[in-house]
Amino acid sequence: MTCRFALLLLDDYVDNELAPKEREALKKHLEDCSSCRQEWERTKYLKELLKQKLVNDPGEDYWKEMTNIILARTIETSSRESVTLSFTEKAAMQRGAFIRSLVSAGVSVIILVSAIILGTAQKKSDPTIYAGGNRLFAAASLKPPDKTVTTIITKKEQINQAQGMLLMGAPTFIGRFSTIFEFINSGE
Amino acid sequence: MEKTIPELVESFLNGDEKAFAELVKRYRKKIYSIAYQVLHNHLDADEVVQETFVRVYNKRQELKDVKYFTSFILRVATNYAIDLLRKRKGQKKITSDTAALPGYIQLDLSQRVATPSDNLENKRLMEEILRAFDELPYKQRLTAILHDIEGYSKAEIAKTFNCPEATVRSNLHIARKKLKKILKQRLKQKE
Ligand SMILES: [Zn+2]
Repeated sequence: MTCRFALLLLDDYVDNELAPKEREALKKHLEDCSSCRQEWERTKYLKELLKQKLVNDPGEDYWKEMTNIILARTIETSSRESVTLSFTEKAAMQRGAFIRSLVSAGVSVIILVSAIILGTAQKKSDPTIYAGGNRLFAAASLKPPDKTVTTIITKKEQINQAQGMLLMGAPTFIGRFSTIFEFINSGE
Repeated sequence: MEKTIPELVESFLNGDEKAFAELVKRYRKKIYSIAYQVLHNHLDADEVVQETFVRVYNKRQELKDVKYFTSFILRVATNYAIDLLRKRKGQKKITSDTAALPGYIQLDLSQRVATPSDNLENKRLMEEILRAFDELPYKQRLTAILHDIEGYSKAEIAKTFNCPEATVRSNLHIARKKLKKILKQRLKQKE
């Protein structure tokens, strides 16, 4: 066997995929040829090295969360293409959607109302001037004021906050209520 | 008794959502591992895993034979990983960025590798090999990752890349040759 041919067979030899006849011939060559033997050692060593896992496991919490996201994304897709569902299945799904919409519409109303109440309460305790805060995240300053940091909000800022909540909430409201109306209509 | 992969795939193709969830559980770490080794960061690996399963779900009609599910999912995953890699390459130079490497190299290498026994030496060597991995063309790199690191067969890889097994063999040969060159230089320096 030539060195050239021996080197060609090395990969399969290391992977244990050579036919018995070739394996024996190569084995013989490796016994006699130190340069090919060296190459064989390196190939084996590389293969050993690469067997190591170079990835850290992000942990069970991550796997659970990721699986939930995947299932949410795929099941969502399947309900969108649910043209072939039977009438009873469809009705059951709509009933589920109706209850979910009703609950989340209720939650939205509660959030809006408490935002207004919280804003007003804050005005009573701290009626002075506005000092900083991010207008984009108006909702963040609706949290109870931190004792160590004086968050001061003006009346104008409060109106802005309420308007912001309304604007942010509007599309969701439309979504929620349209599902409710859809359900009512389909029931007729 | 636990269902086999072909049984799960069969159920999944028949519309069983639970079978799909089980397939996600069985393959998620494998896909993550491959993606991480190609892209070197958690966020991108996470994206590859999510998109892979969503695509597998949406393209399930394309799977003609349950036997080939592994290659099917590997194809989706590697295609997405390569796309992302191309995108990232346009954003920044990752091949020259060695700072990104050491974080995910585990220090217990020497426990399983006989020589050289020195931890630090092994770690450095591994860093160099990984850097060399990044210089390989995509197909060669993925072939080496799938075969030598993840342990998939040449037949599975051939099905994945839709090429003959001979191509897998030659890609593997070229990849190993390049990696061995680095090993050679390393070992020479030590002498
Ligand atoms: Zn020889």
